[in-house]
Amino acid sequence: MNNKTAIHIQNLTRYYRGNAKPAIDNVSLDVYEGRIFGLLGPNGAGKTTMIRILCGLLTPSAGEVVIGGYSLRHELPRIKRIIGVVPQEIALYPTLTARENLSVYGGVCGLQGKELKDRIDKWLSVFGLEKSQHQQTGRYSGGMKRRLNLIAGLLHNPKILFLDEPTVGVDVQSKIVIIENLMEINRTGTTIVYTSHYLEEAENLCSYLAIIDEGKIITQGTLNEIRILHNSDSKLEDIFLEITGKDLRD
Amino acid sequence: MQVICKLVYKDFLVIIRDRGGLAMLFLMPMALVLIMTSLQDNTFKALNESGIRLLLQNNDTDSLGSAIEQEILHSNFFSVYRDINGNKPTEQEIKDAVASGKYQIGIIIPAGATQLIREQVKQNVTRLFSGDTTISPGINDSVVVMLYVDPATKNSLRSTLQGSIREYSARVESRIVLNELSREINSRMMVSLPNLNQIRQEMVFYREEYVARGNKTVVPNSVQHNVPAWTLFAMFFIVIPFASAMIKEREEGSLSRLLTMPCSYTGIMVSKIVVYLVVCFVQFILIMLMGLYLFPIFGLPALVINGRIVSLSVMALTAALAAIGYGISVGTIARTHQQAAIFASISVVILAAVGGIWVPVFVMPPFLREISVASPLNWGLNGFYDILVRNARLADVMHYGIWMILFSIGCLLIALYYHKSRNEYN
Repeated sequence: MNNKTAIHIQNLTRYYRGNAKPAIDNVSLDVYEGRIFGLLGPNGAGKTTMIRILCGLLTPSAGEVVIGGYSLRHELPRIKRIIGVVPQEIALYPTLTARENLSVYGGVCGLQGKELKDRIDKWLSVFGLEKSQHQQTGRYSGGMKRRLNLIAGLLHNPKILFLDEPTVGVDVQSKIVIIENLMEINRTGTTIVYTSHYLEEAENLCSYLAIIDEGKIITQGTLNEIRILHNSDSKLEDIFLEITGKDLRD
Repeated sequence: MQVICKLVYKDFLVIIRDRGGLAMLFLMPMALVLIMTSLQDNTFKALNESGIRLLLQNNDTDSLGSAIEQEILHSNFFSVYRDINGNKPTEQEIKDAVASGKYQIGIIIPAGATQLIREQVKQNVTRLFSGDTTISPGINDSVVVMLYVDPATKNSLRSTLQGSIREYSARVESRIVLNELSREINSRMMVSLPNLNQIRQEMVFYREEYVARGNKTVVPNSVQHNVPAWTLFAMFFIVIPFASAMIKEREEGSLSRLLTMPCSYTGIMVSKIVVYLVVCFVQFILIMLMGLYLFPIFGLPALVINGRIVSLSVMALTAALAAIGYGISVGTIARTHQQAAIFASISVVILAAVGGIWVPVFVMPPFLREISVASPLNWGLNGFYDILVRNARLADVMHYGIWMILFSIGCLLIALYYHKSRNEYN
């Protein structure tokens, strides 16, 4: 395993207006290159806030973040060139076709001409969307939209890929295609930061896990390290419930 | 540059794929300009082409009655009626007819009015020549022309009518005075003088001309006034679809995704400015073409642009920039479609009202006149009027264009500040 740091987070804190309690509370962690890093937690734990900060969409209230060797505070434009983001929402233009959507997002990421065309062709084919590529995405099924949403984030071969709940609401077939391809992308050297509510999926996919609750990282490590730490050989879900509790979250 | 091109391509596709939105962007403004101009043109015609019903009872068969009657008949302001259902009305019937709104004006010229004036004058002249200088006819001896007016009739029309009647009464009076003077002088002197009315002539004449720069005369009409006003209004209404498109992009997550890519909020806004500038300009060209070629088909006067298409285009582009800048700030600050739609529509209507789109600024109360200079629609309207009816050149109106550009930049800066602070604190 590569020990070079892809993401270094030091004492990261983030407050929202009107809330005395921080959404991210003094978090420090490192994500090493080549890993699939799973950030897990119940609703409102701070996963999406964390991802939005790392992508430059939210400014931290305190702390330092270095991504790919660049400071988030001072070198955001450089960071934007090496990251890819797949948000929880279907961030596509519904009146544009799949190819047009990808052409726009790929073009904004600096791809053009034959390279752009070849990559669009490749990924549409990999995710089984080549036949519907000229259809407006508003008419796509949920699974097709999810797959296209994923392609839009990885078209430019980012060094670090952020995935926020990439398999929400998709059928088993689409989920398998997405997971298999994420593993393949990771094998080519892309570091993946992944959040999900599907713990079994995370257990199979991620090489390193961190569980966040109420803005704090409450445990982290490989699945085995977490098991040892919590003196348990059960499933991730049981450990998760043990450390986050069974109370309903908002 | 490639990023901006891709974003422009995207915004262009988003607009042309929305058929309903396209109709709203192009057909609605054209319909608005056509309807408002037709409406105003008909009002204009109603005042000019015998639209006002006037009930006239001329009981004086002499000079005064016929002078007033001729004046009214030749004024072209009125449809003149002398009876109600074939019967000569009484004074009360005339009052009732005007009060009911069937006629806007009723005039009663009393019987023997001219004779009464003649006798008064004769008496006064005789007294004057006898050395008695106390000439003051009592109220009871005065001639009273009754004017009944429907309260719905404009004050300006009533004043015009009163003025005309006064003028013609004065003329008849002066003619009678001169006649009597001639008669009295002839009877007292040995030589016979010609009638003094022969030396009476109009000494002062009025000539009216619409003046414009460069010795050109542009005759204003409803089209010259309404086309620029409603074109501007329609252009500013683009704020609503523009702000909605921004909020939709934000809610769908596409804006956030773009912001994680190598492009800035400013870049995203620049692409929207480019696309919507084209939309506004096409809107403007379509409305101008409609004014030039379609209006005459609908019986309206054709728009006269006097070869000032470049100046008009520059004004249109700067007005479009102001509208888009305003749209960006509304789209950035509003959190929901409802907020954006309600705020944008009401604020544009207020800016238009204050800016003089509906009523001219000079008839507004003083405090509104002061405020009107702060409305970008007022700047645009003044620029268009200067070009279309005052024959101004581009250099003469460029200050209005610069104000609109500065307004647009101001709105953009507000939007950028708000966007930044939202990312930092919200």
